[in-house]
Amino acid sequence: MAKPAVEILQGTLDMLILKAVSLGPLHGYAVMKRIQQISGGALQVPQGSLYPALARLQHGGFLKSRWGDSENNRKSKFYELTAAGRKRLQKETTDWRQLTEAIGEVLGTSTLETGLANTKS
Amino acid sequence: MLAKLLDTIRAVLGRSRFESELDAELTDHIAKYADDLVAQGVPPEEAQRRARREFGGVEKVKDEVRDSRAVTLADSVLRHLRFAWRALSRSPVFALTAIASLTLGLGASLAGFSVVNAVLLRALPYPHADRLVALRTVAPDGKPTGLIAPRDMPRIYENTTTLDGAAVCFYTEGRIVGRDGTAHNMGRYGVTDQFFQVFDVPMALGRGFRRNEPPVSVVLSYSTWRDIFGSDPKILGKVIEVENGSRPVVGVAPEGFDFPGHAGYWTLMRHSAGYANLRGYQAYLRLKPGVRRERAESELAALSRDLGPDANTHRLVRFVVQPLLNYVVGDLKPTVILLFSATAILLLIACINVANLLLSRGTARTREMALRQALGAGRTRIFGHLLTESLLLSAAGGVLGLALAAGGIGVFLRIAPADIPRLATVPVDWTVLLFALAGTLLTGLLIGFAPAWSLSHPGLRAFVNDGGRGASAGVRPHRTFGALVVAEIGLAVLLVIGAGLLIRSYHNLVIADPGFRSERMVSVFINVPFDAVNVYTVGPPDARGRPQVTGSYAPIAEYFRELENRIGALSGVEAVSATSSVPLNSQQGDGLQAFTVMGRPAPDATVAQSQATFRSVSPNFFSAFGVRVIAGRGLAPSDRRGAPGAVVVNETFARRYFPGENPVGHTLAYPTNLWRFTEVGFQYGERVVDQTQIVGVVSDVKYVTLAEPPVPSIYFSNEQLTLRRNNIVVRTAQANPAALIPAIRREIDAVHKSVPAEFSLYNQIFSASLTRQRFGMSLLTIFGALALALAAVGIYGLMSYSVAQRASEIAVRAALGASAGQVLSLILRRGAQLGLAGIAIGVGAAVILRRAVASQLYEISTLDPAVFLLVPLTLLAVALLASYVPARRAAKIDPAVMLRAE
Repeated sequence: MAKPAVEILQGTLDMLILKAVSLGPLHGYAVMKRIQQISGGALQVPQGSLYPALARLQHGGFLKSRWGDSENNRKSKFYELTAAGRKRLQKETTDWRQLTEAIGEVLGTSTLETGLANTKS
Repeated sequence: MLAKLLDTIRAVLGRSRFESELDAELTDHIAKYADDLVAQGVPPEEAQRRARREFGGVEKVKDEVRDSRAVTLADSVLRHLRFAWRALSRSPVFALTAIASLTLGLGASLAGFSVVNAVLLRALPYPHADRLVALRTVAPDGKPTGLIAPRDMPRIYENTTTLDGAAVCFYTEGRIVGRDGTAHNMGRYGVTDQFFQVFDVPMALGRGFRRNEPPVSVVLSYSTWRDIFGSDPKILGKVIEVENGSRPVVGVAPEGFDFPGHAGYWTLMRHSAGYANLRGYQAYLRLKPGVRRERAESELAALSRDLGPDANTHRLVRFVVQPLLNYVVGDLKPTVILLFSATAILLLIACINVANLLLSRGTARTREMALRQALGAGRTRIFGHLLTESLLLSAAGGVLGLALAAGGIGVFLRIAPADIPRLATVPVDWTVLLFALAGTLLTGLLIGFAPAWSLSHPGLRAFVNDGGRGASAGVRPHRTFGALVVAEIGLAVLLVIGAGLLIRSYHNLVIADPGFRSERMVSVFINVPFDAVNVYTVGPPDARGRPQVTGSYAPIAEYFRELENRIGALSGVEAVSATSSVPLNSQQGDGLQAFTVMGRPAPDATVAQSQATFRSVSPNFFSAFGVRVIAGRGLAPSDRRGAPGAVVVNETFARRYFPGENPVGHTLAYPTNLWRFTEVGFQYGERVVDQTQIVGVVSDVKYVTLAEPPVPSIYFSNEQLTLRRNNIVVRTAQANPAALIPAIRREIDAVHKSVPAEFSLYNQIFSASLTRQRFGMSLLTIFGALALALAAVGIYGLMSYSVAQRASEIAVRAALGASAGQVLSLILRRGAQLGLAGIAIGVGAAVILRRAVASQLYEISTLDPAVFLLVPLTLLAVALLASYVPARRAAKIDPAVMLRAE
């Protein structure tokens, strides 16, 4: 919790969600926690925008969902990637890399110092 | 794609499941978060609270989730509708008042539009009606109202490339004898052979006329076939009795086809040399596909040079091609548009009233709305809710309005004058339904926009914070409110000024001098049948073996003379006379005919054609019916057959053709052979003189309508111009002229048993001549009264609202010593201010738009001072009256009670 929270860039939330569920089905709360964990707590997903994003992705056919049991015997809604979702994740990841590299060139810094890669360290 | 579609379908169909799942998912999330917090050592209750708080507005998240699933449109419409329905059903009085206003407004404008559609918009019921045109010529006054002479037509058939057909027709009174021997009078049109091809209507039975067919056959109208011949399926080829002989039936026209109007049957025109130059026919053309009117017109212009100058005017004929629809609608367009505009204004006023209702209700709902916003409902959502509410109101108003319009049209058709073309049916077709839909939508947006906007304004958050008593939220709707009421008063002023002008104009018409003594008058129209009084004498055969036919109308003149004498001898008859047309009886119009003045240089192309209506009267007509002799003498019994031709002209004639000169003593001659003994014209009358001297000038009489200026007229004695169709006009001594009808009827039967007679009372003729004006005036007066009432309601609503808003201020004033009278005048002043502002706008608009009523007015300025003074005063009085009740309420506010409540 030592790291200062960074606001998620407009339009990157979808990509982060796709990445989070690419490792296996997750329910909404777990998606949020996974993103926080991976980023070492630097990325705080606003709880309010998580569910609209999930619904948007599902409606777009990138995620599918089913109800299942989770910890504490609760019924939870699990999301997983569809084929289209996997494709989109790949594409967005590539795009993102290219974008951050390009921005890095402009700013005169290495890729490592910018974007997602940096927050990870 | 498919997944998306399925998701959408699932979302729409399984709405409640979707909602409960969403609820479960969010609850699950919060519970999991709380569990984590507990695991971190937070006490359970505290953890629950924190989880909830940090999650934020659940409703807002739900909204966003719903929005993110492309079902939003269908979905949110449903949600909005449910919200609107709940909101409206909570305040039924408000909803009913609003719906009633909108029903009235939409109903009136839908009825108005249906009439516009029926008369002006819908296509004529003929195949490819857009290719049908009326052919006219430019009349001496420069208007395209001139008629066609038969000599024009053969060239028009044969020497043009732009036409698919051309036909000429003329109207006469006809007669058909049914199987049982009863004679039925009805309209007959003589037409040329292509008539039915031009209109291209599928015949109900048989055929139309054929090219170069001998002029003996008859085509019946559908109603004649049905009513007189009992829809006889074997009517074709049968010989029936018509006005001048026996004719075979070759066809029956389709139902509803009675072109050019009220046709009972059609016969073929006979081409007669005597008529070749008579410019008295209507002509219709069918253009070839793709041919524009202008092209046909220029081709006809070229043809006109080949035809040479007109025999009467000695000028080249200028042809004009008009869309048939324009011709059929005639001068009705401004009236219909005026009435429709009035209904549109009424709708606008109704809209403003409902908008005001919504606004004042909205102010009461500011807290509800602020609460919704605080709970996370977006501005767009609230705006949508409120707009849906007004759309729901307007939809109810639209549906009920459609029903009201249907009923209103029924009433309208019953009171509408019978001579309005194309009004026999006012259909509710797609155009009307589309208009209804658009009008309803527009109304909903119009009434809803301002209130919805001001209520969804973000300034409301401040309002919640200060506990609901802030003045800030009230200002905006209040100002909009005032502006709307001012606009409403302005519109009402406009409408009432219009109605006022029409009322004044109508009054002018009623008191207008028709130019003759009309009191206690009854008239009898008689069209002497051919078999009742014979005008032909068949002599011995000539050298070729053909019988020599000679004729004279002396027996007809004799018939009317005897009738006049007998009726004159009845007790109770004050005056009796015969005249070919009864003043103000528009059904008996006499056509214009040409004449020349002897001794004047032959008119060349630069001189306007000389035309006048010819009238035939008994010599005593002028003295008996108060027509003054201004110069020379009136007609005398000595102006009979065999005596030199003598005519009397009216003032308008003298002014137009003898300006600054005395016409008495001049001699007139007549270029056409109409009413001379020729094969055809002789059927209707006879003029026995070729030249006539003008022996006198008489004052003008209004023959057509009171509103139309008199036309130049030449009066012949009915001995020298004798017509089969004539009127006997009688002034009775007793107050009720109808009482004399049986006695007159007996005299007619005594002279000749089988002569049909139609009686009319002058006051009926007079009243009938004003139907159009009365109709327009009554409708506009009704609309004006409704507008006034709606405006009064609007002012009342605003002032009541304003008094309620300012109650504490007024209480403070009263506590500080303001008297009840001062409070009263405070509120009344505000009412007067609004009234005056609205009046200024309305009067301004009336001045700008005054041309719209100009064509409907008779002898009154469009800026009539009386109307422009009285209407604003009335509106001011209404504004004060409507403010008075709320003002009284304000004056009665008890400061002690009021301030304690604060």
